[in-house]
Amino acid sequence: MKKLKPSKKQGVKSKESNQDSNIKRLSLKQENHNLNLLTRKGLAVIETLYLTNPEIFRLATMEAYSNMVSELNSMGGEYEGNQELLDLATNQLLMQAKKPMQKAGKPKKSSIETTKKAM
Amino acid sequence: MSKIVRFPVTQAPQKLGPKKVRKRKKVNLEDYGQLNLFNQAREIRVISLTQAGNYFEEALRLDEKNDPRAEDFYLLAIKHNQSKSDAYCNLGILKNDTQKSSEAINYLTKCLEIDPRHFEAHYNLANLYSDLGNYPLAKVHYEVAIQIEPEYPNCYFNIGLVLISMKRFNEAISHIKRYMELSPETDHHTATELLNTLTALG
Repeated sequence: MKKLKPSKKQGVKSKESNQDSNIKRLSLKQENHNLNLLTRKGLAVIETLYLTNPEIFRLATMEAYSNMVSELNSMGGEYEGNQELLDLATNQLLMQAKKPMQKAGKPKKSSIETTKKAM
Repeated sequence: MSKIVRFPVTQAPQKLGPKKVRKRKKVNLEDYGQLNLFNQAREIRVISLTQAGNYFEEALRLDEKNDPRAEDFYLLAIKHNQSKSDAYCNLGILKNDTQKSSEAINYLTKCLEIDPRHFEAHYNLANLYSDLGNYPLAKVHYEVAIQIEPEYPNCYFNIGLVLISMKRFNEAISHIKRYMELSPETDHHTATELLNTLTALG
């Protein structure tokens, strides 16, 4: 069997396509790096705002901040973030699961259930 | 001879459907020599006699319907010495719902001034403090509430969350387990998830 050799033109073309893909890869890497830097800068701005005036931070802001940090880390960003702010966000989210307030002067939900069970 | 019926019928037969009742003309009883006693009172409202003057009950009823007038009735109940401590406590909840934390604390502590062992006030204050991020104070109030009513499950669940925030995981686990002992199985979903996460951490 005779092996088919690539023609000169084809060889040049494949070299060109390799170069193109390398350039694309490099530009993607650069783009990722730039996005990484931008996100870090954005997070730094949020942290500075928090340190100067913590009262402006609401649950939504804290949650958004912690999401940004975790997304950056999932993309390989290795960003620690402000631990205090991250803890606050976690605690606030945790507190959303808490049982509601109890009105006075009417039977409690649980006591109704226990009497029903007893019956 | 047999009769031949033409088909199709050119004129649609009249449909026999439901018939609406027509409003009958009112009979003037006086035409028949009778006195008409029922014409004047057209609308009668039944008022519960037990609720008349009981501002607290009325406030509770309105509160259930999320009626904003509930606040006024709670204040009236306080003015008339009707379930004063309960009224203060519920006013605290109303204020908390409108994001007025300081006013809510004020009402709840007024309730405790009258009745220092008011279970709901301690429990609600604990909820409020945990919302504000003051976990040590929230923990104290939950503990007092547990002392007053040790069988109320929600206290154990909420104190468990506070203890997680304080990173006291072992204590949190025991409280959440207690919650699961006291509450019905239908309420165990979140608690089970929390327990799984906590045991994985430990």
